[in-house]
Amino acid sequence: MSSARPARTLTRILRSASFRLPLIYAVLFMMSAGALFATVYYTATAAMQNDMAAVLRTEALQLTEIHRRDGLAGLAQQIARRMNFRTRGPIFYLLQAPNRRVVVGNLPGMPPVNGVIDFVPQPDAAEAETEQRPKLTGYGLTLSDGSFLLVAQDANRLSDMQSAIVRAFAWAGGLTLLLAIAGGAWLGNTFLRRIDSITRTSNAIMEGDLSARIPVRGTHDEIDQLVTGLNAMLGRIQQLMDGLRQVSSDIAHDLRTPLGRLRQHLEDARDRAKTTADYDQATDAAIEEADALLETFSALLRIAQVEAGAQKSAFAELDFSALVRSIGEAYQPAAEDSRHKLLIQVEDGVTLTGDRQLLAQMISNLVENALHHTPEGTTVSLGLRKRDAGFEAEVADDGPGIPDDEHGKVFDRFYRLDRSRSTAGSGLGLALVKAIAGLHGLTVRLEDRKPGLSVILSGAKDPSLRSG
Amino acid sequence: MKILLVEDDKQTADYIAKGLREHGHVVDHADNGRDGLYLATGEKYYEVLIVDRMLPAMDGLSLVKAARTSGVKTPVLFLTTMGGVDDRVAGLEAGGDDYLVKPFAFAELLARVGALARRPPIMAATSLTVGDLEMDLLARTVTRAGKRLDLLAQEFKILEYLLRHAGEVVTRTMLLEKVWDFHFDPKTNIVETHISRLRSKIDKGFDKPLLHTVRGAGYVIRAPG
Repeated sequence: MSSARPARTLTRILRSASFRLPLIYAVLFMMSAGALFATVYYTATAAMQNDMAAVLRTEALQLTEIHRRDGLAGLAQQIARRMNFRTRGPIFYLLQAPNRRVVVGNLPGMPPVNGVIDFVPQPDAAEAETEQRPKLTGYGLTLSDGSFLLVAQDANRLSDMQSAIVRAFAWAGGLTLLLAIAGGAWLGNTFLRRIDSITRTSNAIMEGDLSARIPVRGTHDEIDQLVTGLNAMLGRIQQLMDGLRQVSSDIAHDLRTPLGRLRQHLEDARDRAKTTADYDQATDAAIEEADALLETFSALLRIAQVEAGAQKSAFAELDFSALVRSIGEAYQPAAEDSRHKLLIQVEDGVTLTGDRQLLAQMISNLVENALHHTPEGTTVSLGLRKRDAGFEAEVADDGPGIPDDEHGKVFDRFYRLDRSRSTAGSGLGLALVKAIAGLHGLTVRLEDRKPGLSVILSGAKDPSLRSG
Repeated sequence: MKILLVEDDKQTADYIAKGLREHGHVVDHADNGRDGLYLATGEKYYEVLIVDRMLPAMDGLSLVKAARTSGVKTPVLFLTTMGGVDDRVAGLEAGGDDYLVKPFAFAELLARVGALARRPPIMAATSLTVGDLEMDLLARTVTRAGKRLDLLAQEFKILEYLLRHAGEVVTRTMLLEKVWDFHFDPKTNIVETHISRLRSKIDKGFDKPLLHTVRGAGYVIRAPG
């Protein structure tokens, strides 16, 4: 339980990329430090060896000079004096007569060797017990009378320096490695925790909690930016899902009524029709209901298609003035028959790039809305005016209007004002208008004309055309 | 009339074939695109092809394209559930002559098949005549029994379309599409109100009416007698 968790966390840290990366860097660093170490070690050693050999050779040559001037006895005297001074660190001397008898010196006798030698002096009987014999580096020289001169220095100076270098590098390397691992673990853990929070959120969402969001730390780093982006995406998806849910429940709800009526008509036809005329009446009513249902479906489909922007391929430049005017003329007789006055005030020369059939449907829907939802005697005006920045199309009436607080809702699918619930219509007309306007980059707004309502579509001047 | 119906939904196919046969047509039926193409390009001559858009083996668009490529000039009516503007355009570009969105009223199908089969109508004519009604396409005037009739632009277009299809049933949807280019179903009785005004202009005050309403189907203009 609680012990399994840290162990698992550790494995995860070891496996995590943010840990492996520092580790790789640590190894690389160690390798370059190793190369540096080797260079320093060997150069320093060689330099020191050269230095020691030079000191010993100089000393030996000076002594040779003395030997030539003052003979063996003079040399012995000089060596004895120098042994007392020890000016440049401990220097050991040995002067051996040709018969291998030690004339003077603080080293035991040995067979003569010329040049640089490393050696450990053979212990003297007396000193062996008390003093540890150090390793020496010496310079041997056979003098002109056959006697042997050896000048030596403690070789430990070299090994001391070497071990100092090794120690320094060992400490520095160890510390680096430690820091790299600890830092890697810390970084890995930090990243893991943040990635964990993303995983947790996505799991929560998969389990159905669409409102779950990834916590933002507020550091404004790349991960925060990523998280902010993901959260925004989740918000948009949730919004779309809510919209979809709303639409499907609306559909289910709004189609129940006409389907119920359809069923009722069919029942009537089966159970109550006594004459062919009864039967025809019932089936006609059923067909009418079915047609209304189909119309609702095709309107929904159309809205979906338009909202998906799938219809842009049918876009072409068209004379919007002529289109609006011809729609007005199409509705003129129908408006007269329903005792409405339809005023058509269209300015010439408004062109626009769009889908002619969709635009026709958009204007028609607005005109029909005005005609159907206002009482007899109402004046409906269909206008198209040029504006500095483009154009404005307006469908207005002097009817009862709609309450201000419902202005925002009338463009929703299936939204119907209470007073129009009893009249025919799917409640999709204005939703389609809004979708088509959106596809063409037109903005729709409602204005209260007191009395009456005005729907205004405004469009910017077509940027692709140089309008005259 | 010999008609080839290419439709994979059996119920729809039976319904259409039965209806067309009841109206005196001879109907052959293929339930997939490949058989449809085989029949359309075969020995047998058809006057109209009715083709569903979504078909097994070969879709309707490809079928019609292939048939047109191999020289078949038979008029094609597309049937489809895909009613988007793009779908309509694609259908017409593939070589279709008319387009009917499912579901449809049977009378609509019948009228459109009739209109297709009699194409090409008198396109180059400068005047159209039915009975004592005459339309001068150049001067854009209409007279009946020598008396000048004063028609509005849209009434003129409606009458022109009816005259070009004189004797055939023209449906409300056909008028919406051809006269106003409306490919949706308005809630308002646009067509009815225009027809009633047109009728009062061309038939009022004359003994024999020329413009008739065919119940449940549409309108027809025909010479009396």
